[in-house]
Amino acid sequence: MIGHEKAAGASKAKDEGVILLSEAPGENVSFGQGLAQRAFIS
Amino acid sequence: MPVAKIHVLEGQYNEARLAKVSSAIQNGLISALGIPPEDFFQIIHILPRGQFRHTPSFLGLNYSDDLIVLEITFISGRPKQKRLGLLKALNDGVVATAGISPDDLLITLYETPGENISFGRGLAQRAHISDKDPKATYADHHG
Repeated sequence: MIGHEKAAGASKAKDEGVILLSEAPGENVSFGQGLAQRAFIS
Repeated sequence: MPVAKIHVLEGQYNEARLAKVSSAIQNGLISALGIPPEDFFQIIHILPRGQFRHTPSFLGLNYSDDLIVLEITFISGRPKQKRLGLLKALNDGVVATAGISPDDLLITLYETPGENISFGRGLAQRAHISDKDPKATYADHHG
């Protein structure tokens, strides 16, 4: 869906969007203060 | 092998301040993960405002133009408590040395098995470290 929306907005062929999703568990992310605010999501 | 990617807004960090951020991050990795000092790889991206976009607040945290987005990739297998300790150590260190708000450091840790990394020569020097063998990960090897 991201590729489709981007392609539509930019008037480009759908082929032109290359998407790479990198996943990390919540405990690997800090939004600030050195805390893993989403540590319960893993 | 931690590789740290540091993203900041153009004009907010001069060379001296960036050096402090850089040192604080490396020191945090050394203290929290026990890596050797020479295991040092950093990429610093200084971005114009149009290419560094973020919300002013999220989860009760307030972000200023000092915001640092930090991505660190390292070999998988370290226990959760060690990774949580790393997040805290990085924040404490960068806040203290660079003088930023504790809110202004967003960190994402990415883990990958040793077989996915080459330190050079096209070889995976840490291929013996993988998710499937947690005993051989953080305890005996650095990276």
